[in-house]
Amino acid sequence: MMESQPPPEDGTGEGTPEEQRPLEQTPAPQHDAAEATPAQVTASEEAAERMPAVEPIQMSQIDMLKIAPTRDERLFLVLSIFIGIISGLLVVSFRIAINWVQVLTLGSAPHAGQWRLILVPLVIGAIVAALVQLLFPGARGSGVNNTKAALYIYNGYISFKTVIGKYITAALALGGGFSLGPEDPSLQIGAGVASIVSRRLGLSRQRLRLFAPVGAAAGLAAAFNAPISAILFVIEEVIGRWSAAVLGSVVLSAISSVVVARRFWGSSPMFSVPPVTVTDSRELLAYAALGVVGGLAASIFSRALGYLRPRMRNLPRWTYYVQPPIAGLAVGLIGFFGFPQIMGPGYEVMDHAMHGQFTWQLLLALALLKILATTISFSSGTPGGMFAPTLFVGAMLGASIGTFEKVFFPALHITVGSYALVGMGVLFAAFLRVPLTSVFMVLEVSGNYSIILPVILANTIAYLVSRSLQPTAIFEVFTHQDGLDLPSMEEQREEVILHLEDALRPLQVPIIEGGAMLGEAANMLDQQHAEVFLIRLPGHAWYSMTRSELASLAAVSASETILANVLKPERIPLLFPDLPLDSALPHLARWPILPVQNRASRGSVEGTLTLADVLARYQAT
Amino acid sequence: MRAIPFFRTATPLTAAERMAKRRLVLQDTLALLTIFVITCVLAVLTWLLFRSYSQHQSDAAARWKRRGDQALAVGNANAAVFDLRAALAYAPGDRGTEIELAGALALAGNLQEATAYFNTLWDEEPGSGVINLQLARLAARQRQMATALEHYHGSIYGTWEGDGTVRRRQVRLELVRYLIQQSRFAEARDELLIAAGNDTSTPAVLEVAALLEQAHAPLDALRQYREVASRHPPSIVALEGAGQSAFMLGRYRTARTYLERALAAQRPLINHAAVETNLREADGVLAAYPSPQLPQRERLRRVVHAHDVARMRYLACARQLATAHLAAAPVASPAPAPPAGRSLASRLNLLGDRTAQSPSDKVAAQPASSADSDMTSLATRWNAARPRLEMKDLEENPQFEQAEMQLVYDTEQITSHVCGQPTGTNAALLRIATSPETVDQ
Repeated sequence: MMESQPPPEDGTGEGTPEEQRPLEQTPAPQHDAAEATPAQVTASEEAAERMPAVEPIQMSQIDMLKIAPTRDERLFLVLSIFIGIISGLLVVSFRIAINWVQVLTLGSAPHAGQWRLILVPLVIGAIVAALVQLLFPGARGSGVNNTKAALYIYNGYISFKTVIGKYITAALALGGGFSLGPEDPSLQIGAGVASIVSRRLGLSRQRLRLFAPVGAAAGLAAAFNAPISAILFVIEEVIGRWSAAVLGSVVLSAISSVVVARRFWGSSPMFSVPPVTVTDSRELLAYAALGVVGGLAASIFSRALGYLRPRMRNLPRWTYYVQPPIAGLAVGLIGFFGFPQIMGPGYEVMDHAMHGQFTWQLLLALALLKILATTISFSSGTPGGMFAPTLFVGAMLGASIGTFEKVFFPALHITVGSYALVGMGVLFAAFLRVPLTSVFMVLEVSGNYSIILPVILANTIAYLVSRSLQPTAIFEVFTHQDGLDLPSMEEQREEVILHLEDALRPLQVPIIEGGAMLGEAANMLDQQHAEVFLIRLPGHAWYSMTRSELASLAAVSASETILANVLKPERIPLLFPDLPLDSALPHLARWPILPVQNRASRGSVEGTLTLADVLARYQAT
Repeated sequence: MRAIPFFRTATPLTAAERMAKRRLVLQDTLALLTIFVITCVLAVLTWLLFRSYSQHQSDAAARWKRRGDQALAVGNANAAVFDLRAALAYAPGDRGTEIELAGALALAGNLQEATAYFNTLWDEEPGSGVINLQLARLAARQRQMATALEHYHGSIYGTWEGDGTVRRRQVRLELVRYLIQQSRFAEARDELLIAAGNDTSTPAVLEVAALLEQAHAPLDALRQYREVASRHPPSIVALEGAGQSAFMLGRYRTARTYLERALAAQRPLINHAAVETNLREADGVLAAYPSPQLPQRERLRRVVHAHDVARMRYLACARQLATAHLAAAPVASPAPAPPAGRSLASRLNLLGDRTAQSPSDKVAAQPASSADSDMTSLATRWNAARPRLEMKDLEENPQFEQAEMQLVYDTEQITSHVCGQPTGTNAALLRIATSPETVDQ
């Protein structure tokens, strides 16, 4: 609701210039600028830019819940469609912009030995660095983490300037040959669109927060032409849980954006590979080997980024202007000296690899060089994402293994394309740590269900190998490097959820029937020296009471009074052993003890819970 | 169906709240309208951008493909690979370009990449005639016969765009050439007989007939040539081919007929000299052959003549062999006396001049080798034969005719093995000996 928005400083609401917002207002990590490292200073600046806009509150004194109780809910759905469409259009134009920049700068068919391969990334790197440092500081960094930050820290706020900045700088960088991908910026553009649109309608803070993942799903879905993967990724990596409140909107926006994208790009899947038939079970061993190799490669990739990125961010501030051009130069040199395939997102190279156009040695070299080029590009702070490079490395590794087998084990009749595709999923699962999304992503970008068995096998192995070698997921590594503390979705997924049964204590308190008289109840408590007791009421209802509460009742009622007649109308809610432990907490403020019942036999008590029991159980973990 | 109000309220609203609600409705409507207009404008802009982009993509794809085609045309395969890859980057999934690119990779010598690429294309479209053909060629180049044959058949029975029948026939003939190259003549013949039925035009039949000749199937080739030669106007190639095939089959009468017609046409022949030579030889054969269709006297005369010619050939060969044995004998160590009389060479020599020998000379020879054995056997038969065959002997004993001609044929065949190819009438008799029953066909 609009009441929940921060009050305007000058009454102008959203029109407040972002530059005028005091840093203290943002809930972002507080750093003393004098003591902070350059990376922290940058993070603070980015945080300042991301600071929530102040909404106009013309009707703050009106009870919105009274005049329009379902408005937020319905606008949420309607806006999700608009967000999907607008995100889809922006992502389509974003991809076109990247291609135009590439054609205009690197030429229509760049090849090794062209001087422009060195000059273009160098110059564009300098331009991008200047833009990011002077105009669009919010464009720096991972779009996924920025979206998560918007969700968890900035009340869903992503500024218009950040969206524009991300669009321009990422298009320049990717078109100029930097080894980065367009999906991550697309995701952030989608989230930004959602944030901008939703702010216009003045929705509640809770809704505003949720719009960021809705837009993210739209942006990612349009970029990949894969709605299911986008939805799963947002749930797996951004939101972290299946929430009915947001799922409908995420689905609507993702589908809307994909419909728009397909209107332009067509409905055929991104990659075309023939149906895969694993006739020889030995072939699964090869896919398992691919999983192991993918897990190792993902770990190398993560460690390289984890090593280089913080070091580059901690360099003096002025180096931020030269890091992207130097990174561009490095990438350009790799391209100039024989490997122009690693420049840019590289989707056409992935397609070539799937069609077995390269030898296994070249494919392996491309995978390793792509890791190097992407590590340098991303660590330099150049806007761009990790999705396409991840897919590239995976495709090259997979195709390399597939081609190797084809050459040395021709009897297996393997298909190189399927290995490349599985390789993509493997890196996606192992590097980005989104195992479920990785499986669906492979299915969606290929439109080929027959590949599911090898994908599941290889992805699972890669995920486990990568986790054992690199316990921290890459997005979490980035989060820590950026000085933020966002929830780790992987940790959340693996959290052990405590249930009532974990704190349950055997029934030790007296049970008094509701039909008993007050005097009888008091005598029973005296005999058993009990401080609390349970009252069994008709219809499997329960009531709990302390000795003092009974004494208060006895003071104002005759001892022959039936206990049930003097009880307050509320009853203890039904609780069962499998419910989450925290579900008991709200009731423990009212009730001194809670009976936990058996689902199969209503009315029979499995045990009891007190606040002390719950706290003791939590403290034990 | 109950309509759900957009703004549902539970309790009556005050005047201020109603006003606020109206303002809220207005604000939301305007906001949604604004978003709608923005969406429309954005859609139009994106569409314009996309149209321009698509045009550029298709132009670039066409330009690079054209360059690739030109590079292929001048044999610059490496440039073609680069250009076609660029074309594919702008038109991904274009099957024609993909196939051209894979072909260019093969031309550039990147057989492994080309095979892998074609295999991937094949995985996507296993029934494609053109992809199977390219894979067959690659396998043939890499000496993988089984794979090559599999893909050749896949191509023949695969799908082709447009001129499928023609392309399938071409692939089949290519397969035939490959089979001939691999000396798998029987399979080549089978494929050719199928191909013959697919196209009955004169050039097509002549092509099949020529390949049948190469596939060591002259009888089938002759059938094809004769079929075309019977058309009006007769094909000079068919006449020549029929004559040569018939000659190869030992059908000298047929051969002579076609070869004469071919020469009489006064038109350029594929191998004019061969036609003339073969015609001459066919004439010689027919002149020497004691055909059952000839009058008896003429036939017997030819038998007697053949007998004389063969006997002379035998004697000459025996002498040649004896000379060769003597020359091969060691000079320092004289050959030990043969256990059962004189040496084979001396016996053959003596047999050669039978009138000067005593009957004791007619001792069975001990074979020293296959040639010696054959010659010894021949010597025995000649010794047993009449020294001089007269026509009246044959008239009195008609059964001699067959036996004498058999001796003639055996003599020509054995002496050709032992003493080399004969000339003149001996050569004609040797040809007859190969297949006497076909000479008159």
